[in-house]
Amino acid sequence: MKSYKVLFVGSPGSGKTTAIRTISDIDVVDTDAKVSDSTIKRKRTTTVGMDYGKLSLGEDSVLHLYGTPGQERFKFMWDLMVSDLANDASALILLIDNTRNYPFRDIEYYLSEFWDYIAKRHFIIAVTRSDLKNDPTEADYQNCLKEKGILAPIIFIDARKPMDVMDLIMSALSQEENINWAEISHRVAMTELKKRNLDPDSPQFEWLRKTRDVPKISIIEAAMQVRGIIGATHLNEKQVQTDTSRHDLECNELFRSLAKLAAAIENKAPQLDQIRNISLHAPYKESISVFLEPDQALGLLTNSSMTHTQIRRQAEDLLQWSDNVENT
Amino acid sequence: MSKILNKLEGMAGTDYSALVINNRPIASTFSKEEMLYLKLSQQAFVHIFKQADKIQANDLYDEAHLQLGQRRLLCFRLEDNILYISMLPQTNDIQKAQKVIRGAFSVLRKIASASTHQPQKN
Ligand SMILES: Nc1nc2c(ncn2[C@@H]2O[C@H](COP(=O)(O)OP(=O)(O)O)[C@@H](O)[C@H]2O)c(=O)[nH]1
Ligand SMILES: [Mg+2]
Repeated sequence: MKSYKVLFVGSPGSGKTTAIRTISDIDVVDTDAKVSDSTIKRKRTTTVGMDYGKLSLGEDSVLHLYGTPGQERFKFMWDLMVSDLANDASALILLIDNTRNYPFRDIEYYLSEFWDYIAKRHFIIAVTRSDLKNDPTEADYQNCLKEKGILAPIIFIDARKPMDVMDLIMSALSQEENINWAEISHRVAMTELKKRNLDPDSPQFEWLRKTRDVPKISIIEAAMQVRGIIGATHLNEKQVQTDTSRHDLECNELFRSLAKLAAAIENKAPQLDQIRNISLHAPYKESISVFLEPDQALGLLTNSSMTHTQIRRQAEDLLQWSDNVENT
Repeated sequence: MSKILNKLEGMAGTDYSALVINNRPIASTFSKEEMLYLKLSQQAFVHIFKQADKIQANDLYDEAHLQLGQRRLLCFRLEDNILYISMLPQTNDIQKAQKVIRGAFSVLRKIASASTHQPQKN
């Protein structure tokens, strides 16, 4: 059995899970949600947002698809994947979300993070979500790479479309002979997503499921590693500050009063849905946002360049993995 | 007047909207069922801006969001006493709504000032 591997990297929301899911023969092992063993304290294991899928390439060859965790706080997993699981991968596919404010910065960032890895493998840039925002254009990307002196195919895809993702895969494995792409594409196009079964015995799945200690990091430290976040404050269910990036942060009081307002509204109108977010914006001004969950809230002060959607995505990501415990 | 609001909603991708002057909606497309959201958010937004203004003497925030479950209420402060509030479904593009509504600021201000100068005319 010949096996090939491809590694997908890219910012949160760039479409890693979607791309892998779109073509995988098996249901994607999205380790974000599927760890059900209660003895594993979910938020403490490194089954952290990696993806794994598999595509049969014929009778005796198979392609393993891996997605790295997007969040920068799980960067240590990148190293682990690169040096272990995906060390023998044929290609690295960098997904770039075209709706981000500075997609070229993302390229720069991932290039520098994965430089050694890329140097020895096929490297492909796939631009996603261009249906939502059509600039930068393909020519812009080409110029960007030219300036950096990088040779890599740039492929615009919709990560939700199987044939688009197949284009990537064909490009990634273009040196390989004896793969019947026509047949595989046909099969991918014909397989409905729901017909795919999880393959719990695969060794790759085991690798992902293995429990590892996550370097303990508070939600505030994690928040401050995200580009665009200038200040962060964590509040408990009583709207009391438990942690903050800066005690003299001007908006700390505002975070608290917004969280209190949300609680007051919920008290007054319990029939309504839960308040999940209150934000303040103005052109060219840093944004102030509070994201609320039943037992905690996160206040964020962010760059004016970050869009509301980007802020929310980061906040949800942070809150999901928050241990919500005191630093030890 | 609600015709203009409807048109703006179409472009912004919002469901309902209202122009509020001195805490009173002078034009609104909120349905009866959704009226509660307008009332509640209107009060909340006044409070939110008041709190925000405390830490910022000049160069004030002019936009506030309140997300309740799947509903997102957007509030733009056109003047001290003039708010434009709209409701955006979860799946719709926030950035587009922001852009479209900001582009309509001058029109909304005109409507608001016309209605305050001729309180009798409908
Ligand atoms: N419109 C559009 N949406 C996309 C595209 N690629 C991914 N998405 C959506 O973007 C969201 C984030 O994708 P996801 O795969 O979770 O990103 P990940 O964080 O990199 O795993 C999902 O809702 C996808 O359906 C694309 O090319 N166009
Ligand atoms: Mg994912």
